Amino acid sequence: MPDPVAILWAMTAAGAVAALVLLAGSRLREAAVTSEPLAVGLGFLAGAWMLGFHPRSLLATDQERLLLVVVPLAVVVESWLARVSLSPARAALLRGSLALASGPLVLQGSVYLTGGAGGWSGWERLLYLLALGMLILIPWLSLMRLQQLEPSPAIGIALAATSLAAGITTMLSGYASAGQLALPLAAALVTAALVIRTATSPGMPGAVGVGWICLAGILVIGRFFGSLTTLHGLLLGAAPLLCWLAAYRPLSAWQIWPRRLLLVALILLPLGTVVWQAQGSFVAHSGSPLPGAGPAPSMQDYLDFGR
Amino acid sequence: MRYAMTSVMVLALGLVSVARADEYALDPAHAAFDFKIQHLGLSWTSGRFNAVEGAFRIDPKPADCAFAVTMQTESIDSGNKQRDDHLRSPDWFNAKQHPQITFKSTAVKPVEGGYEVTGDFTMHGVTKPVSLVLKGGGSAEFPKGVQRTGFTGSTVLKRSEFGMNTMVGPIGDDVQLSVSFEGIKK
Repeated sequence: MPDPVAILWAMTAAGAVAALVLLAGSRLREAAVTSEPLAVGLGFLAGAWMLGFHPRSLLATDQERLLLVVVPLAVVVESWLARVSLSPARAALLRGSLALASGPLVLQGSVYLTGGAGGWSGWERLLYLLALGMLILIPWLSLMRLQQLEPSPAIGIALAATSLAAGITTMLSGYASAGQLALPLAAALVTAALVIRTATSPGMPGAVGVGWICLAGILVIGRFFGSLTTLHGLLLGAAPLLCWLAAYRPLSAWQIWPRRLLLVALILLPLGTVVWQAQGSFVAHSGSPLPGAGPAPSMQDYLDFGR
Repeated sequence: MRYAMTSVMVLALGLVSVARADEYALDPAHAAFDFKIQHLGLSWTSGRFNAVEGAFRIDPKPADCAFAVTMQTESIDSGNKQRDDHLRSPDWFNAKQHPQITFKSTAVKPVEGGYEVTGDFTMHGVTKPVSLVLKGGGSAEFPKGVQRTGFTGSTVLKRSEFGMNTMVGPIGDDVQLSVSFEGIKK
């Protein structure tokens, strides 16, 4: 459950693991490009482990399917694409295959696929899974393309900020353990952005690719297993795409700092709005015990109880 | 001749026995499947599952009685939307992965005023044997032409045994489950 101290440790572990993998990779020239996706993936998993994610099987829970199947597959795909030179169409096909498979993998065994109450049936299932695959794939390809056009750690930072907002929103939407996973992801992405900028190159395509899949996965489990609203999920998923404004020709004539400030403001606007709305909804539906009794108890109050 | 008479008697007794085994469908409008769990060791927070269905058979031979109940996890209601959303998430019941909580009896024994029912209780994807005493069994005709009977009972479960370990401590591990239901004779 959300314990700020445990979350801070998890973020530290995620950042440390990401940094170690990247620094080790930079020493081995051949491994440098593959270390980027590995750094974010392993950092994310290390943070999750610190938060109490101790899997008992491979496919039993949504988090196990995301962390043990989808994320490693994303690391493999991005690492391989970083090493071999595939045509853009073939690379898109590979990423598309994983994006389309991610939905069924994460939703495996749930009412959405088994057809229970509140689930999908027949064509509905096919359409939803196709839409879900597209919602994962299009931003993925878009962010990778932007990395090629404007190689910059800003995309990694934007993904990290989105992860932070997604984590808080998912926690406020009734799925605490999934939401807190996004916080070490943010730490791994920020670390990767900083280390890659100083150690190797300004771009971080592999890290962005894996980071996006991790973030999209958290949004998917938050939406389909928790109570994250579709609107909030879509806004959070779309926020990193505002980085495209950096490539917008009239803006590219601006000096770098005003341009960066504008970009930060534009990305923080939807993120802040979503978190603010989720917080408002949480407070409205929690109900204060008594007038004048103070705010409703937090998870931390429960964790501190009896200490 | 004797063989034929014996056969007729056995058949007649069998028919009487079959005729007296009454099948009931659970009446959701008069069924309460409530739970209580301790909060900070100070008080009990209660809730219920609003969507319940089931059936049972009452036989003169108690061993042939049977009870089966299904609760829709999504219908959990503790009177607080925020808490209910969290209870439905994988942190607790994981309603999308485990949409139903079921009980199916495997043995029924007579006790004073009712039955001791043992069965398989499945919650959160884990099945464990659970026993409870159901008291009641009286009958009433309501409305006219509709025969019904009812039972009431309770049991205590350890949620951690069903893989539900969230916040054990401030929120109790023992869950008191109380059931009260009527069935309409088919």
